[in-house]
Amino acid sequence: MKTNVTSPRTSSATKSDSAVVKALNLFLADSYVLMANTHYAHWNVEGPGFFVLHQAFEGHYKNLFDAIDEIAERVRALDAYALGGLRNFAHESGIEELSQPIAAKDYVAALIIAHEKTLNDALAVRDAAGASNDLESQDLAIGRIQWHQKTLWMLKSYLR
Amino acid sequence: MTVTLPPLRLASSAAAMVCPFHDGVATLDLLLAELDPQDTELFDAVLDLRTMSAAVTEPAACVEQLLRVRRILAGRHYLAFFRVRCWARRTFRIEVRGSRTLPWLSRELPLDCARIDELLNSSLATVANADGEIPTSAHVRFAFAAVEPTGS
Repeated sequence: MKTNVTSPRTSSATKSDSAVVKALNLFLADSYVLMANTHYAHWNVEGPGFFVLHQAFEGHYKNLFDAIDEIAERVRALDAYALGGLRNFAHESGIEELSQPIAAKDYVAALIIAHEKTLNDALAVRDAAGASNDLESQDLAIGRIQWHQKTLWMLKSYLR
Repeated sequence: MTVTLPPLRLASSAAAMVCPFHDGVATLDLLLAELDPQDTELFDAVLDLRTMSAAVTEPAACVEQLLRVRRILAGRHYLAFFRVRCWARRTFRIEVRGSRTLPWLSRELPLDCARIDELLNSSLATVANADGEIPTSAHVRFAFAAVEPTGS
């Protein structure tokens, strides 16, 4: 009897130094800085919109914390290493870190800009993963894109 | 106290980016795109700011016009003007010195600045002596941020 031995079917042709990994690590850096900025805004926001913004920012940074773990573990699943170090995250992402108290509406505006940057890099992950037939990374990116788009809608609505 | 204009220097677009997509006078274009041209006072004020900023010659006049636009906007078009304020913070510097023999101390334009006299007073306060007195020879001037080298 002839036995066919086949290797397990991998779902992705992604290599550790691929465009997908690079895009995921940039997206990871964006998400980390955005989480830190959102956490800062949660702590320091003041004024008439305090309760609603304090609560909304809490939901956002918790969501980002979970997403960061998922993104980093996706990088590891692709046999690459996740980016680390707060300074590296800030440098790689290019998103300015919030470090001084600002007006409540300025926190919202600053976070909108950071979400726009993160969303843009999530789109790059989606496209790179699609080009590599890496559907799992693409699925992760699509989920994050939807969340950032929804969050942007909410934050922009607050400023109108 | 006198306010003087510095020599021409180019505005920076290479400094830490607040917005990776919109910078320089492009932020003013975004704001203009949101405005109703029939609102001539506001539209013309933003257009003038754009023209002055693109010329890169008179930082003090640019800052005054920026604050004028802020007054007219009165909180409208918040996000678009926030992008403008972030660009202005990176582009303009306030420089102060206690006397002509001292070096200029430079600081960035505050994101929340609303009045020129507040800007001048807060800058002068930084060169006050231990008794809180501001030297009569103190100077404040506005400047364009120096271009940072790109690449290595």
